[in-house]
Amino acid sequence: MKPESTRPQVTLEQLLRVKRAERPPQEFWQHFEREMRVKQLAAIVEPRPWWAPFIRIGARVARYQVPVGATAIFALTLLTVREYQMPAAYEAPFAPAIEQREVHTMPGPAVTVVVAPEVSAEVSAQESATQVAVASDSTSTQSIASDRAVHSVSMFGGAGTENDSPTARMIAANLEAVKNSAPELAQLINRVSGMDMLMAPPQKTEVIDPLARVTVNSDRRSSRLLAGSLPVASYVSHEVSNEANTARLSRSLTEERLYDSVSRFGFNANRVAIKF
Amino acid sequence: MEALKAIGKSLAATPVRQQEADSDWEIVQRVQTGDVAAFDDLILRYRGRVYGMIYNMTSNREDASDLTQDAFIKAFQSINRFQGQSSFFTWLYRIAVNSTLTHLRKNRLRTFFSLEKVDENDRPSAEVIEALTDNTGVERDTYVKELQERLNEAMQKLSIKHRTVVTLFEIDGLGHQEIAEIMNCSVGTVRSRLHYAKQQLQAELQPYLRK
Repeated sequence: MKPESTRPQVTLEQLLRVKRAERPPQEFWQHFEREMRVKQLAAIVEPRPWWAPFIRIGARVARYQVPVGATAIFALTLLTVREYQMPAAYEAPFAPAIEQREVHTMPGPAVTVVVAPEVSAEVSAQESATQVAVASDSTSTQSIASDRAVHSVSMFGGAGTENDSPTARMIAANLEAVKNSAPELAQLINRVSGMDMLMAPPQKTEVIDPLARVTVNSDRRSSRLLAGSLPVASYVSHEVSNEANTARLSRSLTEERLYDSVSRFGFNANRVAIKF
Repeated sequence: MEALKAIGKSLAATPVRQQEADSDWEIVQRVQTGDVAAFDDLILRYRGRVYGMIYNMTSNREDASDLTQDAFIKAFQSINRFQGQSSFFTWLYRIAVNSTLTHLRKNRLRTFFSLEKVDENDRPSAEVIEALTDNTGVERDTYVKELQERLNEAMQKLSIKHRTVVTLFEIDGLGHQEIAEIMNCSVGTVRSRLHYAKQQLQAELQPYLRK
């Protein structure tokens, strides 16, 4: 290196020109060309991976990333909201009494159903579903096993427990009044609300002993073993009934015994020999 | 389509670049119609520049050779998707730069120099070396080698993005607009990176520079 005092001044740009002069020799390019040719041919022959089209589609979709993401979030939100609303929608039919704010008049004896508006507003759909009391015979209450039914029926008797809400007590009182004045209407309410099914005595089904259903395989197994001992029986399928096997076996044994007994007799000219 | 092509071509600064771009587009169209051999013309035309760019970013000739080949293969495989919205040169450079950046990020911790010899016939570099040393023969060669190593070390100390900008601007001689297009960033970002990178290089190469 030249001494600093005599050294001409060089800029960074000039210095970087030295890097520009770093070039490979000509032989390098010959080697490069050969390798390039091989790789190019391999690229032509090589089958495209199955996911290659997806990359292309992904590249096209990439420009719509934000709208697609926003749409996905929006759809997910809608789905979630709907999912949460579904149970309430299903329970709504169980609470018709709460929505009823008018005075219904039946032909015949006058029946008045009173529902306090402030009470009906407070009652949630779920609570109403469990507390809709339906008129029914007091005798049938004993046959109901379900706790829900017991709870509901206890409300109906007009003697709602202290644990019941004011709404439940009011409904029970109304239903009691309906039952006393118009039993037909009470039955109708039962049918509509599905309470009659709940309070109906359980159907008696005929009990069958499970052991009675089990077939005994010992007969089938023994007959199969016996049949297997015979030469003919080996060609017989397993579906042959027990009776057929037994008959064939007895027949076969009889013939055998007959042959045995015959072979003990020896006929020779004028004498008969018997072997024991 | 034609409008986009025109915009892309208008970005090519000089008339020479314009002619190159037109010529490239004709060759690309031939390749797209099935004349695979025409792609060799494009390789011959750009292999030196692409290799030089990658070499100056990696400071390793073996890696540069592999990455150059990969860049050409990638360009060949996706040439049917090239629609002429930019010049072929810019498109090819973008592929090469992206491949190199991926390679450098993968091998961030591995820095192994494998340097080319400085071309003695290159006049500008010869002038710089003349200015820096009055040695001759073996001593001169040693000095050039040392200078080369210092230069490459300084380059490798830069971050990948700064190194790319310096390589494309100072060594390959591309314009700010072209670099912005290749690196997919704004011209302001390119200028800023270039300024910062030069400051760092000046600090590293202080012994060789004027005060």
